[in-house]
Amino acid sequence: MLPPLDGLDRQTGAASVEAPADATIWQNGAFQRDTWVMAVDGEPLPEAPAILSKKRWLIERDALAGRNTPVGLKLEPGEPLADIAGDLAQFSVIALNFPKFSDGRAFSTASLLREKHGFKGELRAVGNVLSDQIPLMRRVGFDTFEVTHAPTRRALLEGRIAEVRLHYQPAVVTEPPAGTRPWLRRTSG
Amino acid sequence: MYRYDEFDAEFVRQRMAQFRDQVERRVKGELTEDEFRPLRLMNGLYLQLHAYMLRIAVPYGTLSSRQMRKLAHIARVYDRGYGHFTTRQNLQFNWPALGDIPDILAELAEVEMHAIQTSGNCIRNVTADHFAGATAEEVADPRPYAEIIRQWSSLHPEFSFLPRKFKVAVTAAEHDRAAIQVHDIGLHLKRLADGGLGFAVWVGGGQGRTPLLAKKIRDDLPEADLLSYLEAALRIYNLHGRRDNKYKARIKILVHEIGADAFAAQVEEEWQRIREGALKLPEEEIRRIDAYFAPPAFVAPPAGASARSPIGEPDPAFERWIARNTHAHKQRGYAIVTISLKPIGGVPGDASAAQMDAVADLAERYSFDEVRVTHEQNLVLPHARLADLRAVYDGLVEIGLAEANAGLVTDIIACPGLDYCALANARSIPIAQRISERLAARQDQIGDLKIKISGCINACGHHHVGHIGILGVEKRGEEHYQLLLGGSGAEDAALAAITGPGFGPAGIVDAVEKVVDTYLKLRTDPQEPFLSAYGRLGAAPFKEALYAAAA
Amino acid sequence: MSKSATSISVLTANRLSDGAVVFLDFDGVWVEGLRGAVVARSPDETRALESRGAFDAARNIVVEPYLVEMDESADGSLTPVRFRERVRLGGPSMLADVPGYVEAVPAKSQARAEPVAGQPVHAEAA
Repeated sequence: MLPPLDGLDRQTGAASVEAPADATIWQNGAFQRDTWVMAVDGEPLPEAPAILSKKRWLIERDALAGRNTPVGLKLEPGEPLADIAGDLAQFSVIALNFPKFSDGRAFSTASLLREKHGFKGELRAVGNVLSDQIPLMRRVGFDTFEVTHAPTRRALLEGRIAEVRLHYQPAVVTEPPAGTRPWLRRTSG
Repeated sequence: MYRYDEFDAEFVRQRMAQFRDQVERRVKGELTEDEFRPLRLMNGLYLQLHAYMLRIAVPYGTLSSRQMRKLAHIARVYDRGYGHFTTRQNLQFNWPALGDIPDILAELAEVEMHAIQTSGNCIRNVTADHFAGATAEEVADPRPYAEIIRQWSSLHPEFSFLPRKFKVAVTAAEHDRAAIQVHDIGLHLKRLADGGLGFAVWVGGGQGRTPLLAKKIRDDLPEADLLSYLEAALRIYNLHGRRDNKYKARIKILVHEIGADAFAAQVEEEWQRIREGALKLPEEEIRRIDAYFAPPAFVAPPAGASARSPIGEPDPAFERWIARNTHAHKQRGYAIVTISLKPIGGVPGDASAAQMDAVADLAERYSFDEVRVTHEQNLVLPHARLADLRAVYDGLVEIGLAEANAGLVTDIIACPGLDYCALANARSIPIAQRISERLAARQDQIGDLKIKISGCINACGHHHVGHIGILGVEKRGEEHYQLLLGGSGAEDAALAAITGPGFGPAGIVDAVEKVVDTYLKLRTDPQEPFLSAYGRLGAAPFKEALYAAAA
Repeated sequence: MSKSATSISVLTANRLSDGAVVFLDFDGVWVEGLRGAVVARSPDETRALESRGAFDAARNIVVEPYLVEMDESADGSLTPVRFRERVRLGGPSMLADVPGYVEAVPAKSQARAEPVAGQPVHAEAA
């Protein structure tokens, strides 16, 4: 008798201590398998929902106009938004890469995608995603996180991300005010 | 001064709990050192040459006596009996154990202090004119704005992983005691054309491997737009600052490479998009923060009051101290007192727990409970009555901090250097000690002369803006020192120029003396300070004195 | 002092618990001071030392291990070649002048150097 592939108890929402290693996307309080496929530059586009690099998107943009399956975009730090600003509504997901956890450019890119460009789709943090950054990433508009770092996965599953829930500045996400000063916020819930 | 409300206190508590958790995970091995390092740096914890070093934030250099006493307590109980005041108005402890850090932070939180963002690639302590709120030279006290910036920049989700550290300084006086032109962003508080308060904004100053003076990118930023403008500037920097080379990652390099105008234009474009948003500062809110910094209840003195005792023998040491270490206060009958942490031959900027306690007592009794830390590693009692100066002086004599040398050649700024710092190439403290001993006898004759010593290219001793600057390097495995002349961090900002070949540890002390002798010989009169004489004479006579073939 | 014909080195690091400067000794224990420090005299020995350092860093006993090149005098005593390492070994050079300086309390710093499971208890500092 094979063990269940998915360690999550969906009915009660409780998580077992482990999640399957291939369930890498932290979303809505649980690890899911990635429903998206990363398209490899130079190889044919998969039939499944595919995430493209910006370079590929710029080349194949017109050809993809008739495609039915959802399309996503992956941006490396420093890739500008100006030349794709008009395309953003076509992406169901935009993945921003953190190749080194110390490279914080994607925090600003996320901010701009949400606030300047009004991006409403899924904003996903990928790459070196560690538990201490996740609360900050949420505040600038990320909703999902690709997490492979084992201690971070455990901390998420056990609900042990130590975070500061009071904030001295408004962020991208809507947060209730806190205290008397107009720039204070708190994490709700 | 600012007082925490429930929000501020709870924020620090949560931050402490978070760091306690991070320390535990590090000790258990759930975090590698690489992963822990940026987290501990954001809580001010360095690993130095011999031990950890904890850098405690002293926001805009302002402390209450209660806070100073807590620092003394921490020095006594958790450290080795002393602390070091830094060139960014902070305090460093040199020997804390990792396991004690959460407890130290808990003790600091009791007195509304912390070590948040005193290190790491984030926005650091906002420094200010150490005479703010006491000098008549300002249009208004700049510290409320420093407090507002401090809050907004605390754990900012977008700006916690910048290309590099980010340093902000504010001043309101024409005479710039905050060195805003060598900061990443410098803010000069001023009256705008419409009568409201606002800022001249300077960007891209900094020392280190590539010293650069800041460029003014805006002359008239209204106070309401302070945070939105800073947010725009930080966003541009976060996106475009270089990340390929640690020594090219400061905003000064970005401004230099794309040009101040181009940088300003990008900031302007982003700022116009967000300036009416949630970061716009309501006037009543600014005034509410202002109120925390309202002047204390000064008492105007009776007519004819002065510092000098009307009876008894004149005391030349006391007179000299008044002349040198006190500065005019905006309130008649009061003075701003500088407590020199540079005893002759001493370690610049260090204070023992006992000295800290004594200074706390003096502040409580004679300065409305307030002390300042200066970026020149001294302390200030901002509001001392003239009538109390004798008691203050006597109190300082008792603890060995009455040297009348503020701004003199023995008031040396020195980074911790190779004696403490893992980044250093050479020691700086012993050089400061030897120079101080060599020139002490002539310090009054020499007059205003700022010597600044750094033990490595990172320039924490601010040697680029010393009238005399010294940079320690490693040459063929030994300590070696470059000599620079003519720098200034004030409103006449200038970068010091290297004189020529460097010197060994003994030679650099001789070299400094030669420079001083040359100045004394060539100045027009004793009223011409070193920096002016250097400007008039140029480097040539000094180089000749230094490098002419030995007789 | 004369340089030995081949470069010799010891392994140093900072102890995780208190950041103290420590050296690896013959028993694989990290001690303060050079006495008993294990010396690598060949490339193989050097590599073995480096591996041991990396291993103990991964086990969270020490941080940032690295090799220090040493001069060895006739009587066998070791001095670091690099000036920086001599300062690091000796502690701040002007402690006598630091106001209010007190020595670390030995009991306190011993207590902090708690044994990690499987790690032998540290020997008394040299």
